[in-house]
Amino acid sequence: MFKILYIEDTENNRILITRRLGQSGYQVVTADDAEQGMAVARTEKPDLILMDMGLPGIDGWNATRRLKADPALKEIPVIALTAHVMHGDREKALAAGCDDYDTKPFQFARLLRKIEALLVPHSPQRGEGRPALQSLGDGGVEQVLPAPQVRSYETPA
Amino acid sequence: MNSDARRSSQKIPSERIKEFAVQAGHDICNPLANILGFCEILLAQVEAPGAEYLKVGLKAVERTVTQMIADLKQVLNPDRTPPASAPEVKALQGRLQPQAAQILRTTQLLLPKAGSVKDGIFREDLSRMCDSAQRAGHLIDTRLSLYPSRP
Repeated sequence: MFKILYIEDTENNRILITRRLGQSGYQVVTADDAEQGMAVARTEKPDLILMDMGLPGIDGWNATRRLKADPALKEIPVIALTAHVMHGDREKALAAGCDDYDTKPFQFARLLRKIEALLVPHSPQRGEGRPALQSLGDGGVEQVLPAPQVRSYETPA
Repeated sequence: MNSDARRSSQKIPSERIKEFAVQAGHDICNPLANILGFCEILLAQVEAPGAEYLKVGLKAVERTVTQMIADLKQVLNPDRTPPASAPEVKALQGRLQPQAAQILRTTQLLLPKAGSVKDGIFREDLSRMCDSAQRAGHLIDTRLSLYPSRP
């Protein structure tokens, strides 16, 4: 089963994406800020990172630069996520080291396609046992699978 | 003041307005996008007979939020030159406030009916939608009131 780390400061967004990815057969770990995300990335060794770019403190752009500068983490693909897009943001995300880019509100089928595209070439030996997704176009992806496995890492209030 | 200095003094406020527009747009879009995400999950669960009113309510919320996001992105478009004026943003706020109140009312009305869907997660997700609607309403009230005037 592929493991995805979702770094996002809004709890409801973490729950939403965790639910959706869990339903699609991914194991999800979450962190609510960049520092926590970096620590979780080191311990959990996720197959892919979803990075909210609007994080408080160290933002997603800088967090990605740090991840990509770390020899132990630089191979993990990162998808940048943002809620308000500016012209050139995609290029900015790629320049920061992100492997792809998506915007909120999510078209979940599109996000899944991006995740799949990055996971397959990066981790051919991992993710065994993950059920195949049956894409139903932009309307959704058929859910196959076991209950989601979720672990959250949150900074204490 | 020479022309370069004049351009420079005009550029700084304009850039600040754009930065504000990006941040405010991001902050308000976030809970709205969250509502849409939960709507999608919940709509997939209300196909059961007898849950038609839930479906109608969720569809209405989905339509309203989609319209709010489009309106927000158009007015606070960070690529706009010059950025939106304070009166434009005030008008945007005037449109978004009743819509935010409406989605909050609708989700609150749907909550007691959520018991008809035999899944505790359904009610939980609906509660999260209420939270996000409240948050969106609060941000529309506060952030947009602080929108700076153009020089």
